[in-house]
Amino acid sequence: MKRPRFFRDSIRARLIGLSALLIGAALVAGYLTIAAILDSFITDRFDAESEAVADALIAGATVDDAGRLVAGPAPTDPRFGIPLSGWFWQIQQDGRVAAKSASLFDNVMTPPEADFIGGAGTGPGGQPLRVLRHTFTLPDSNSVMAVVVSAPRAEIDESVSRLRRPLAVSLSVLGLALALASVLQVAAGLRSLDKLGRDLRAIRSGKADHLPLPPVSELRPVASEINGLLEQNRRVLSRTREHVGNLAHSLKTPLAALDNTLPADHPGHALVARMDRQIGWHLRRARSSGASRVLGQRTPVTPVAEDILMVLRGPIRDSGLQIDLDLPPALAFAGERQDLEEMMGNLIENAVKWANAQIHISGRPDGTDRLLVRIEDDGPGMSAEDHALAIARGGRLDESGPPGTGLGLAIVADLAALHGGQLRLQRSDLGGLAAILALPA
Amino acid sequence: MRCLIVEDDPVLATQLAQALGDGGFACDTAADGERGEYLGATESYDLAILDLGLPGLPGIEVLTRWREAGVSMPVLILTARGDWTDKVAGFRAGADDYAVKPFRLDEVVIRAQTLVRRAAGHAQAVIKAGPLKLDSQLGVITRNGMALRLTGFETRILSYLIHHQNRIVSRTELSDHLYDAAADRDFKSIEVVIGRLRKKIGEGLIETRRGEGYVLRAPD
Repeated sequence: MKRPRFFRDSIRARLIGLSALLIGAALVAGYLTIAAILDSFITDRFDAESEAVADALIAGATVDDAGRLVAGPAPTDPRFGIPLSGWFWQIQQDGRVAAKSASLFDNVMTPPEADFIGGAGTGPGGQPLRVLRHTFTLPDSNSVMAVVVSAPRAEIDESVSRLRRPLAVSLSVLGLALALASVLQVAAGLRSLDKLGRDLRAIRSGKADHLPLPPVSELRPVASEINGLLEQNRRVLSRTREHVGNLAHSLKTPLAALDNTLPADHPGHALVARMDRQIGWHLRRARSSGASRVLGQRTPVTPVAEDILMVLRGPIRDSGLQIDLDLPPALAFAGERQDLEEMMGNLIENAVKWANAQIHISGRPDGTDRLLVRIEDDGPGMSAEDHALAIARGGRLDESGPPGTGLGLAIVADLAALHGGQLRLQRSDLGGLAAILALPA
Repeated sequence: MRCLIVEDDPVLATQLAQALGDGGFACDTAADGERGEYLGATESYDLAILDLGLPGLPGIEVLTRWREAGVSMPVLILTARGDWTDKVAGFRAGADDYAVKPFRLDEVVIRAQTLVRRAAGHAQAVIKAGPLKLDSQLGVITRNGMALRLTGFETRILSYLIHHQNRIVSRTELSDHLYDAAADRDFKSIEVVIGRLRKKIGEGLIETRRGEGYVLRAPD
């Protein structure tokens, strides 16, 4: 049978369902056992009462001179005096009723000719009875005497059910308490898992770079395994970056030498520039492809902007640019510093190149998990068609031009997309280009 | 002007030395980080060109050690990766400018001259000293608008004096910044060249302070 989806998907539902099932089964079994014990206890009590009456009747019975059975004093229990009460007795000699309780009125009981305790019988009014019959003999008679005592089944059943009802109620209350306890237990047990989930989300959103070790020992191996994976991921990435950097160095240094050995008007310069662009593009892609998958990264925006401005301070001072930096201190990018440096570096460098007198760098959060960084200049700007062209990915690889130029905006657009973000170009209120980076925060 | 080139690729190092030599620099080269650090920390240079991807001691480390040791010459870093992380790391370590490989030699020379000029406190590409004007990018010195015909060595001495005008420049300082490490230093020839310069630029501009050195007097 296919279990409902809810039970297959949820540990909580499984645990609570299982414990409800077990608690229910245990309580039902307990109820049945205790009820059976109570039943026999009560029935035994009634039987013992009947037995005592029977014993008293036997003890009081005598035989007269004619050999006829004579009953002793009747039992004092008044119930035997109430007509058709179900509490009956009779003693008989050789099957003939010699004496009987007043409650029997003008009826007699006709039980089977055998000794038994707790037999089922039917009274004169049709009411079910619990009956005992003992045979006995008396010293001065050869007759077979028998005493029959009955108690009304209804009274026994009522006693039993009077006890069963509170038993059922108290067991139900116990069941509810146990169910509540198991819900609380499951919730407490799973809270560690919930916390683990929250910690993982914090890593994913870049607010933490590793899982804190959980206080419960069962989850510690899981957490340290996850931390190990994160660490390995980081190591692999940094090794890759190192290799990529070495490759860039070992390719570009001879390329620089080659370029400078060519005469100024040699067509080889264009080839060198093209090789340089190809190398740069592919190395950058290789370096950045792992970036969005490195979890637990968080880079404040302001220090990166300040670093970039430090690198560009020469050109900024030379052209007398005024830079307005308007970044909230808490603004942080959920990704690696290198990537934010690359994006902001290219955009600010571009702005410095084109601006006449001022550059405005601003940023703000956009909802809970995004941020916007805006870099504007008062330069000539671009036409709307050029906006699209400038960020077309890889589209300008083969264009001619001096090495290292012309790809800046495409690189930024590409990197932003790798992080699930976006680069938009607009006309700025300052008159030039406004580059707007939307990134995960 | 003396320049230290720390670059492990021999071809590129030679090209740089050649181009900077043509631009008025006396160049020493070091092929690895240890040698570069040693030269930069012990010799007097007006500029260092430092490759970041060096065998042995990495360029960033060389630069950091220089700055820790109080070496304050302007440093132009050469980076192959060309990403901003490299540039930021270089500037944090104390670099003043960068060039991304592959670069044009003439661009590096212009940047080198700009750095030296800025380090001497001159914001403009053209430095004035009385009737003299030094175009630090072209390496041309004019007197009252007329280009002076100077030898390479004369240009170096006069450029240095113009950069550091109105203060006493000792002969030792002058020779430190004129000769590369391999050259024989010779105070006599400096005196001879100063004498020739006085004739070409006019008497009275370069004063000799006995026992102290030379001053290029350039009243505003």
